Parts: sequence; structure tokens; C-alpha cells
Amino acid sequence: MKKNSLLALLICLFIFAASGCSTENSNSDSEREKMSEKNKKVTMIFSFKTANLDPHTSFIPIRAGITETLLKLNDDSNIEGWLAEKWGTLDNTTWEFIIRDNVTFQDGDKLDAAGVKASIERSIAVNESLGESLKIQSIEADGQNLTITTTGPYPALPSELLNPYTSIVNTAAELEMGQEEFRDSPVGTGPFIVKKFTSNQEVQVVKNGSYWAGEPKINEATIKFNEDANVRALAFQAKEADVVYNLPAEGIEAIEKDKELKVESVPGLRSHFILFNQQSSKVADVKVREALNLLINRKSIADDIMLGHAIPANGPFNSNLPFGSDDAVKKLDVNKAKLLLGEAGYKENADGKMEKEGKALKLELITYNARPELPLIAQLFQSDCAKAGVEIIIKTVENADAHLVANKDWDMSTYSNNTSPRGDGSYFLNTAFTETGALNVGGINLPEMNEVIKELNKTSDLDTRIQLTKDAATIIDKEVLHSYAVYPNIIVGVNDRIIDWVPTAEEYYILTHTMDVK
Amino acid sequence: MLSLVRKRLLQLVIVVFILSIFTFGLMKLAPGDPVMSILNADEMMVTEANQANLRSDLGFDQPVYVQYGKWMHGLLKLDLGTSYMSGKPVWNEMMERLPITLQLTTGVLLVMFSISLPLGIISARYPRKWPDQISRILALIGASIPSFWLGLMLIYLFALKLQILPSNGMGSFAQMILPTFTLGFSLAAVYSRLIRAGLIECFSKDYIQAGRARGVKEWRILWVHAFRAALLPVITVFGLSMGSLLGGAVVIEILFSWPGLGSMAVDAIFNRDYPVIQGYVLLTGVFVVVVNLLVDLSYYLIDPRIKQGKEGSN
Amino acid sequence: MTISVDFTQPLTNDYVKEETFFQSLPLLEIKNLSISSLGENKKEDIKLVKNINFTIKSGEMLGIVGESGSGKSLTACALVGLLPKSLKVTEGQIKLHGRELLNLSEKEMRRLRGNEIAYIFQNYQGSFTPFIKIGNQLIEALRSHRKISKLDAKKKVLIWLERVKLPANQVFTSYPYQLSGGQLQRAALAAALMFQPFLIVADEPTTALDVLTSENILDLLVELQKEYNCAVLLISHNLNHVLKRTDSIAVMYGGQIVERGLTNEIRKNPIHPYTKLLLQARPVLSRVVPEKLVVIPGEPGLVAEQGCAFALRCPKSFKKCSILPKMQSVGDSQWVACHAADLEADYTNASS
Repeated sequence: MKKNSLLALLICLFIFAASGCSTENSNSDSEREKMSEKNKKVTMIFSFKTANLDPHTSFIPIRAGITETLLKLNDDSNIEGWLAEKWGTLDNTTWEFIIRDNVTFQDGDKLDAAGVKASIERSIAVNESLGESLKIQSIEADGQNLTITTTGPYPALPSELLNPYTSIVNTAAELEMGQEEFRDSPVGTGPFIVKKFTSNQEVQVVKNGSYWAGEPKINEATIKFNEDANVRALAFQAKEADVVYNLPAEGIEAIEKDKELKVESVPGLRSHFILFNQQSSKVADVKVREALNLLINRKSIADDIMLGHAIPANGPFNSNLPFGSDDAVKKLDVNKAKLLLGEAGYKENADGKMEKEGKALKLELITYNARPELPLIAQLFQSDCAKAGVEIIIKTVENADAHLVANKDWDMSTYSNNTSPRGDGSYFLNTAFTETGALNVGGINLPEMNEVIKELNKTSDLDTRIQLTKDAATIIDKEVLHSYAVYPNIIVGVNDRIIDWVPTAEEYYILTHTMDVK
Repeated sequence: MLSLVRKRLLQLVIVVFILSIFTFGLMKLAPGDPVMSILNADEMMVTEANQANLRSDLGFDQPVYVQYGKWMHGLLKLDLGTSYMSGKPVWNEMMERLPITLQLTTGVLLVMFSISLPLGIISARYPRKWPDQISRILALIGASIPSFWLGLMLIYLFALKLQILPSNGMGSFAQMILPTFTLGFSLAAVYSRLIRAGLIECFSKDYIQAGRARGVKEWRILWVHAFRAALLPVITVFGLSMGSLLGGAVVIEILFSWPGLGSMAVDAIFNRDYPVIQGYVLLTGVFVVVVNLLVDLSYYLIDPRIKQGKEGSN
Repeated sequence: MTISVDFTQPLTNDYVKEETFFQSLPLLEIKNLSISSLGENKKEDIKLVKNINFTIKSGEMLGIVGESGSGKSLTACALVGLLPKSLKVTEGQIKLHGRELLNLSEKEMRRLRGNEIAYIFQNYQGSFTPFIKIGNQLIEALRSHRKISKLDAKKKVLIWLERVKLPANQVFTSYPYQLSGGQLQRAALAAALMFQPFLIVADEPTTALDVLTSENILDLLVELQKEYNCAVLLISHNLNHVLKRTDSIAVMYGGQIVERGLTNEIRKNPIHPYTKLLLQARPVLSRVVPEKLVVIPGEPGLVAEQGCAFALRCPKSFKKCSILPKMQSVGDSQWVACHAADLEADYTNASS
């Protein structure tokens, strides 16, 4: 009968397809074994996708080892030379760079100062906000010597040159192949060359045999993009990828049962914190803010909400960093909080609520779902505040920044920032604490703080910079401008076959020439 | 029939126009704008001045109707504008994503019909017997299970446990199986019951008995006589669901990393990429109207008693 | 006796149409046929047709008359095996040329339908699928039974449409809804006669048509039937139609055949009380309008559970009527099942 035969045909088709795939898999497995002596291949999955590979608008090229910047961050979070061998300045305005001599682009052209100049100019033209970050007035090139003049004294320039958006590319190649093609297949100096790019899906790279720092150990790599954490975890467990970024914390237990899989929980450069609306009268008193600061149960957030994959915070910058704070982490202290509130004029009323001039202390806390742990932190905070008689009303919004700017009736907000993306605190201090900074949604404008930041912007001596940064952190702590909760870790799944590689906090240098497989 | 087409095309223009105003208005009402995302404010040093400049460059400080007018002006020149995030023309963005969504849609339809047709027909031929009972249970399951859960479960089963299918990605035939089946299954559940109901109603009609009385072969009775009439409700629902299918099945696209129209729309909404959102709404609006026009035309083909405007009587 | 002109290849079944050979055997024999509705667990529930017997000879037109609910339509359905699923033949035999139809498989039944036994429906709109052109449906029917090309089939269909006095080309390309009731029944007639079946079952073919059209259709049926020597089972509740045209007649009430025989005999000499009342109840146009029209007493559909089905409405019923009367022959070509009639016959016999 027609329908039965149709059903049978479909079943056959399915079995055929499935067997076809499994043979594909088994073929590639045996292939991989055979080729392991000759062709070492790595597969990775990243959690963000990109529509093109333009290194000046996407981080993927540097992560995939296609491009490199003039300077890089080393393991101790200090700046060291990469494509620039040496650099220096006398007045923080004129900067001299010596471009490494033995570097060629992946198409064979030699890297010289002129090439660097062209690349930096392109990056500023292509990237809207890079110009503001680099503050470059003019660039001169002479052989391997590059001179950058900034618009004024700008000690932060080296840390801004760590930005992947300043990757050095071969602009001549772009002229040749046209902008469209170049954006999908950029020519850089890195250890891996683009083989095939499928927009928003994956990029395949092969090794650059003439890489200046040495031949890469890996022959080729495929980097896939997938935005769902659960699928990434499943793919990792199914051994479809060797390195998978941003695994969900809940899935780690199941993954670790597999002996071949490892989960690295790397201290990150991000902070989750609570910021205050400086215009709100209710949190205007520093004692109130101090009290609220003591009602954040940092340990519980790290252990229970982040499932152990976070470090309790003691300041804006991760304590592992050289300019991180040495202060002790503030523990949850309800009694001290109540005392502080008392000093601010609040008395506990009959219902156990903190009251001043007949009004109970009620605060509106904004949170958002884009980072799932933030609403949880908000709830924990709410329940701990209740113990101290402070009522917290949680309001969840879709776009926190928009809401915080447009409305004035909020008191606090959970927030999250990458506070030291480039090994220097000045980015965060400038954007979150100065009047004109884009991240300063609370409207902080403290003269003391402004002074320190201005000083920091003028200082080039590293040790002084570190000290000034720590001073700024002290002020933040004293005035409770922000209340830092935890530094979330980066959770990366690494298959055992990967050797000579660990994931690092800055998440820039992922596919390296030293990564190897068993 | 031609006048029907003409009428519909006019309706198309009106519908799309109203849609665009509605969407534009809603978007502008929603808090937030793309400026922070464009400037990468969470990575780069951005000041309020930068933001204000960009806002005025993009024309956000002008009244809403002026902004809409600008967009409409561009549209009349057949220019959908450029995406704020990628700088690419909106049309190009959509055309890049369209083949992927089409591929998914085609696969889903194939899976859907290959499950629902046999199941529906068998259930109708042998009502209340075990195939019918099974199809009822499957229909209930298919209609209740959320697609992302089903997708994850299938990945878990086939990619992790059995290791016979890849977990995500697109390009190979194997990578098509899980996404199309995830979506196709829930749809198939609904359609199999529709087909069953339509067929059972048809089987009870006099003319079916008349055909049998003339000794016409049973398979012809099923396919030529009964099926065509049973198709009418199926095609109606089909038209309705095609619109949303073509809009992209967002959950599936994100789960399996298929960068189609659906995920484009979601990204655009999060980033407040207005030109892309408007372009997407336009495109989907056109799809829905055109598909429904085709459905109406097909009514006429299936049952010539239905003339434009008049209903057919059974 | 006309010899049927065969436009197509000979039949592929085992029986060859030779008039003389079959003249002696009845074409259709119904023996002791009972049809019941099925209750729960597929068990017999209500007996709707109770042990009926009749035969049809080749080329004979038999009319079955009775009220709604008398079981005549069910009998017709049972002949072609198209009873609804809730009803079943529980007893008896249906023999076509001596071949037992109730034992046939569905496949064999399908070959028989249309080909050896044709069916004409009361609901002319329901005779054809509404969205397929008439011509195509007739071609489809032909090709379901014969291996002929579409072109040859078309030729044949056009010839037959002519034969039923329809504008062939026009009707061929029309959809059913574009034709009138009369035209559709003619088309149905063409579909029925196309194969020159042994038997045509016409289930109230003109009940839904107006008087003039009805007469035309029935005349056409008779004309073609005689030309091609098809037997016809004409089911109707219109006594006049049946009396005018049929060779034999069977009267049904409540699932039982109460009287049957040659039409002429029964018309002249009805014996069963029901038959008598039926004949009397016909309004006659040529006479003076009577004061009161003759009415059959009791409500239509009042059927006795035991014994004679008509007993509850019969003016002549008595105690014995609770036992099922046997079919007795009266003369060579008339049979009656009635205790009262027996009594009268005995009485007449006794008194003669």
C-alpha cells in the first residue's frame, strides 16, 4: 500500500543518512589517527559569532591567530612588545616604536613602519570609537621606526595598543583583493592563515609556515561559533571540539566525569557590582552606602550563585592583577550595617524596618537578564537587606543602560563590566567615574576622584600608575561609589589532547603557535 | 482570478505600509538605541560626547516621524538602508541569510509532510485502531514539547550518547537532520491530525461512495477524490505557518548555529539596529501576504467551486 | 431481443455474456438475507432487513417499493458491498450468476462494482466528485476496469453521453455543479450503462427530481435497459413509477418482503393488505376529488418486533400475526406473506 511503502522508504533514507554520517565520523577518526603524526588539527567553539573577519571590528582574527598587535599582555598582566620590539617615550606625547625586523605578512610582504602606519590609519577609519581611544594626532614611518604623536600627554597609549582593533594588517593586500574579500580573509602577521570563512558560522585556518616566532605546532584549526551554552557543552562532551569557551557552570559536573575532558576556571578581568544613583537622595549618605556594601554576601555569591566559579571582590580590579587591591574582602555583616544605618539617622521601627522621619527605607534596584547571574545576585541582596530592615524593590529591565539614563527614580543597579581589558585600570576609571564617561550611568562626579584620574592620565611610570590606580580604588571604597561583588571566572573546556596551552584571562591570545596536541 | 491577484497586491502594499509604521513606532518607543553597541562602549573609552555626536549623525535627535519619513524616502528609491552594526546594506544582509532560512524551511516542510501524511492517512483509514491512537499521542507530545527542549534532547541523544549525528552547524546533510526534525516534529503533530480530520470528513461524503460504486480503485479514491478536498484546511494552516517559518525559526537557528533570518532579527532587536529590523519586518510581511495569496489561488485549483469571494459548498 | 453492441474488448472476467445460456438461471438470487446493525462489541443489535428472498432474471426490471425505513436501500447497498461500517449482513446469500458475493474479497468486489453491478444514487449531486470534470470521472471509471488508453476511453465516454441524450462535449468538460439534476442523473446513467453491467441498481433515482424530469429519466432508463439487456433493480417509494415500468415488483415493509410477483398481476390483484392500501392511497388525477384521501392507518415506521412487521398498522391483523407469516405462492407468479390473506384464500377455497 502506498503509505506503508512511503514510510518504509523514509526509514531506509534515515538509516542510510545516519550510517553515512557515522562512517564519516569513523573515517575522520581513523583519518585523524593516521594524520596525527603529520596533520595536527584542533577544533574550537567560541560563544560569539561574527559576520566578517575584519580585525578592526571583530576580536575573532586575533583570537584565531590570524593577526597580531604592536604590544601584548603577558602572563603577569604586564605589557610587552609583540610586533614592536621596543618602545618608549620621553614626554608621553611622542612615542617611538621599533618594528621587529624579521616579520612578514602572510602573503610575503615585509612588515615595516609604513605598513604599520597604514594599518593603524585604516583601523581608525573603520572603527568608530578607536580614534577616541588612541588619541593619535600623527604617525611617521621610517624604515622600521614608527613615531606616534598623540594629541596630548597620553600615558595610556601602550595599553590602548593592546586592543585587538589595532591589529596590524596588510593594507596593500586589501587594495589588491578588494575590501569585501579582505574582510572575509584578512592578511595579518599571525601564525595562522585564513583557509575558509563562513559568515556567522565558522572559520578554518591553516598554519603559517613562515611565522616569525617559529613554526606553529598545529597544522590547521577550525573555530566554530555557537551562542547556546548548553549546545556548546554537549558538543564538548561529544568530543566535537577540543576547546570550548564559556561553558555553563551547571554542566561542569557532568563534563568532569569524563577523564578525557578538563574544565579550566580562569580568573577573569570582569567585575559584577552594584552602582548607585548619585542623584538619589536615599543613597546620598555615604553611611547608607557603606551599610549596603556590608549587606552583599560576596562569598555566597561566589559559591552558590556562581557555583564556585568566581572570586569575591575587594575592589574594581581582580585582586590577582598588579594594580588590584590588597584590602580584605568585606564580609556580610548585618549588625554592622544596622549600626551604620543608625548613624545615618535610621531607627528600627515596630515592623523591623529601618525608618527615618516616618518613612521606611525602600530602595529600587535595577537588574537585567542578559547576564543570568545578576538577577540572582539582586535577589540574594534583597533577602540580606531585609534582615537589616531595608526593603529592596527589584525591577528587571531589558536594557539597563537605556533605562538608567532615561529614568531618575532608581537607587541602585546591578552592573557588570570588563574593568581591565587591557591590563590597565585607566580605561575603567575614565569611563565609569568621570563626568563624561559613557559607563558613568550613576552620575559620579567626585572632585577627589577626578584629581586622581587626571594625575593617572598624565603618569607614565608603571609603578606610579599602579599606586595611583590603587589610590583610586581606595577612594571608591571609602566613598562606596560602587559596591563590587565578585570577579566571575572564565570557564573553558579543554580536551586532554591539547598540550602546552592554557586559557588566559584577557581572552585575546587563544590560538597560539605553541599550542600542541598529543 | 487576475483581479484577485491585483486586489491582493494592493493589499500587500497597504499591509506592509501599516506594518512598517507600527514597527517603527514601537521600536522608537522602546528604551535604548544602538549607539552604545556601535561604539563598543564596554570595551572602548567612550564619552557622552561621542554618543551624542553619533546620535545626531544617525538622526536620532529628530522627531520620530521625520526619521520614519527618511526611511520611507529611501524605501521608495528601493534602498533599505545600511545596518548600524555591520555597515552593510540591509538588503545584502537579508539576502545572505535568506538561503539559510530557506534551506531550513524546506527541510522542515519535507520532514513535516513525510511524517504527517502517512500518519494522517493511516489514522483516517483505520480510525480508533492503534495507528490512530499512536498518532494522537504523538500529536499531543509534539504540540506540547517546546522546540528548544526537544532540540537539546535530540542533540544529547544523537550527538552525545549515540554519536551518530553532529551537534550543530550547517553545511552537510547530517547537520540538517536534527534541526529540521526538531521543528518538523511539532508541526507534523498538528498537521497529521488536520489531515486525518479532513480525510475522515471526506470519506463520509456521498461522492466517495459513488466513486467506490463505480469500482474506482481504492488508492485513487484516497488520492484523487478524498485527498484533494481534505487538503483545504491543511493548506489554510500551511499558509499561516509558512509566514512564521520563513521569518526564521529563531530558537532552532541559535541552538544549531544556523545564521538565518531569525537570528538576524533577534540580534538586530537587541542591538537596536533599526534599519535591519524594518527591513526584516518588510520582508516577512511580503512573505506572509504572498504565501497567503498563493494559498487562496490554490483553493481555486483544488476546488473549482470556490470562486473569488464565494465559498464552496460541499 | 437485441444483441448488445460491444464497443470495447471482451470482459476479462470469467463470465461471457451469452444471453441464451443464462436465460434459464436467474441473474441475481437473494436468499434469506438479513442485515443487522452492530451494537457494542460488534454484536447484533437490531435486525433491519429480515430474511428476505427474491430473484431477478437477466434483463428483468424488478421494482422494490416501500416506505422510508423499509430496508430497501439497505438491501441495495448490500448487493454491492457498500453497507456502512455499522451494519452487517448477518444471514443469507447473495448470488450473482450462482456466484456467492458475500464471500468475495474487497478486491474482487471492487472489480464487480460498476462492471457487473452498477449503482445509481438518489442524491445526484453526490454521484460525482465536485471538483473533477464529469468526463474525467467517467474515463477514470472506465480505466479502473479496462486497460484502454485515455483517448479511447474519451471516445467511449462521449458516445455514451450522447446515448443518454446529453450534449456530449459540453458535459464532458463540465464540473458537476454546472449541471442540472436531470443532466447529472443522465450522466450517472451513462456511467452505469457504460460497462453494460448485468444489473443496474437504481436507488430512488428520481426522488429528488421534478416530475417531468423524473419521467424522462425513467423512460431513458427503460429504453437503454432493454437495448442492452441489463437487469434493473428499481427502488422507489413512488408506486406509480414502479407500476408503470417494472416487470416484477416486491413490496417491503419493516425489513420484510410482504408481497412480490409480476407487476401486472399485483396491479390487478393485490393480496397483501399493505399492497392494497398502497394502491388505494394513490391520488388519481382523472377522477373526481374524493372527500377524504385514503390513508394507511398508524404511523409510518411503526414496525412490529415479532411476527409480521405490518401487524401493528394492519386493519386485518389478528392474533396469528404475531407469528411470522411464510411466503406463499398465489398463482404462478405472485407470492404473499400474510396470515389474513391465507385465511381469505382458505375461505375462498373452501367456499368454491
